[in-house]
Amino acid sequence: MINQQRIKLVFIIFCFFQIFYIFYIRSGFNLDTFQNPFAKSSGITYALKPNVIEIKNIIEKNKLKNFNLSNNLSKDKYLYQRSIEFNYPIRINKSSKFIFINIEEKHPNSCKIIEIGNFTKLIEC
Amino acid sequence: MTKIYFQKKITLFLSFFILNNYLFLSLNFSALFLKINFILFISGVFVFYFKNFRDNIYLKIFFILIILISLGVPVFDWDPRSIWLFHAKRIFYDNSIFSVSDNYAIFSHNDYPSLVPSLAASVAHLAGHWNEVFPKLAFSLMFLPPIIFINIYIKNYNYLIFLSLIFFFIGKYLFNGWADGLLAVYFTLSVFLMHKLISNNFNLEKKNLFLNLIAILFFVTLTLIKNEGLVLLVIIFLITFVLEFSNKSLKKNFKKIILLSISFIPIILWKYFCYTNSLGNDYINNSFLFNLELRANVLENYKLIFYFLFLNEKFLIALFIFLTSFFILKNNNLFKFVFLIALTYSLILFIVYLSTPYDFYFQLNSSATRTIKSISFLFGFFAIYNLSLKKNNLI
Repeated sequence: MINQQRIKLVFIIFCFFQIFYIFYIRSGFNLDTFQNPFAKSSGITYALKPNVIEIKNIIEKNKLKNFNLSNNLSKDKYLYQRSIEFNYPIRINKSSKFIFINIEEKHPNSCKIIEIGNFTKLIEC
Repeated sequence: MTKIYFQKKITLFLSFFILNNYLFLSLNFSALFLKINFILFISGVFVFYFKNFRDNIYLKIFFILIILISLGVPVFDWDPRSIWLFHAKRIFYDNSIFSVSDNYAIFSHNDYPSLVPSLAASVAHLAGHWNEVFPKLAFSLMFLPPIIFINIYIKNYNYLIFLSLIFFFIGKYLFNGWADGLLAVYFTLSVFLMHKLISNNFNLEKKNLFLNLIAILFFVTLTLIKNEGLVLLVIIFLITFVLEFSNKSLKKNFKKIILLSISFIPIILWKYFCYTNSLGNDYINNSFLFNLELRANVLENYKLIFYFLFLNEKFLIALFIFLTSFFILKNNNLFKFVFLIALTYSLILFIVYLSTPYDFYFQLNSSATRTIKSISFLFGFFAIYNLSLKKNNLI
């Protein structure tokens, strides 16, 4: 006769061990995020690269309704996709006059610089 | 109210409100209705927790721990960010599941069904704003109905083994914003319910209204989690049909199969919406046959798929315990049913990988471990279920 209580205890310990393993090794748990999970910007600095966050900050500061990325920036698939999803409901629009360009990129003379960040510049054309 | 009756009722209640949330969004109900619907759903969770706190205590403790972990995990990965939570964000801001008809951000697979994102959007509605962390709770909450439900059939230490299987096979997918864990659990429970309602010899269960309703809700949920869910449900029906036909009991169960097949209606409507709005699927396009033909003649490709899909420690463990369980306790009907479903899905996976429009190696490397999860969990679950039948002397 198998001792049911003992099997139960073994699996309770096993479950706790697995949860601890998932939490400690597999989850990417972050104390900062946990301390403030309902804040608007919770977790973003851990999930996104600073250039993506910078674009959002510039968009919010300048109250843009839409934006575009220069061809150079669009080639960076990560930046392109993250900018789209992270900035929603502000949409990327190819005909937008507000264009983000790389910090080292030269812009046409007809465009004026709106803001310069650490990684990107916002220009209006 | 007996414990079993309560568990069936709470499963039905929670599943209903998950789907009702999707229905409200489909019908363009205002955010107020979504909030009320979600509050009712959460009150169901509270009733489950506090009606008799000591019942199912381990699940309750483990689930709280999962929720706490989830609240400290940012959304890192591509799929959760670009597909599931991005769709949820769109639903939250646009208040509709149909706003994807503009095909904005084409990379986000606008044709994917949006049941889980719609629940995540409702979590955000309740909080009043969008952020990157708490809407993800919807993914964890959706695990509750099937996990509560299975306690009716798997009890005592077997239930703890079942929970350890969940942690082992599903692991971080319980909270990280991927839909593959949900797919695996709902798929397995759908196979289980189909077995209970069709192939099982217990007539009393077959006629149980609650069980039939839960089956329909789980089937619908399965199809609306991911595109794979539709394929999996078709396989479940197909294998049921074939086995019933070969056992000459199709006539007896035909009406029931037809009745259960109403579960396909929501996904058919969604697919119709995608078709009319030209929201395409990456996999089914002009290059499907071309890629298949190109890769199907090369033996090396089959080896590579086999390697990525099956030479995976979790799958091998699941297969081992599945075979051992059915070796110890012969249950041919159940074995045949589960094994044929797994085999058919594996064959379909081979075809899908051979015809992928993406780089063959990249596709396998990035998705094989996730796609095989459904079969691994299926095997693991039925191994435990089969052994629990012996304990209850049900075969």
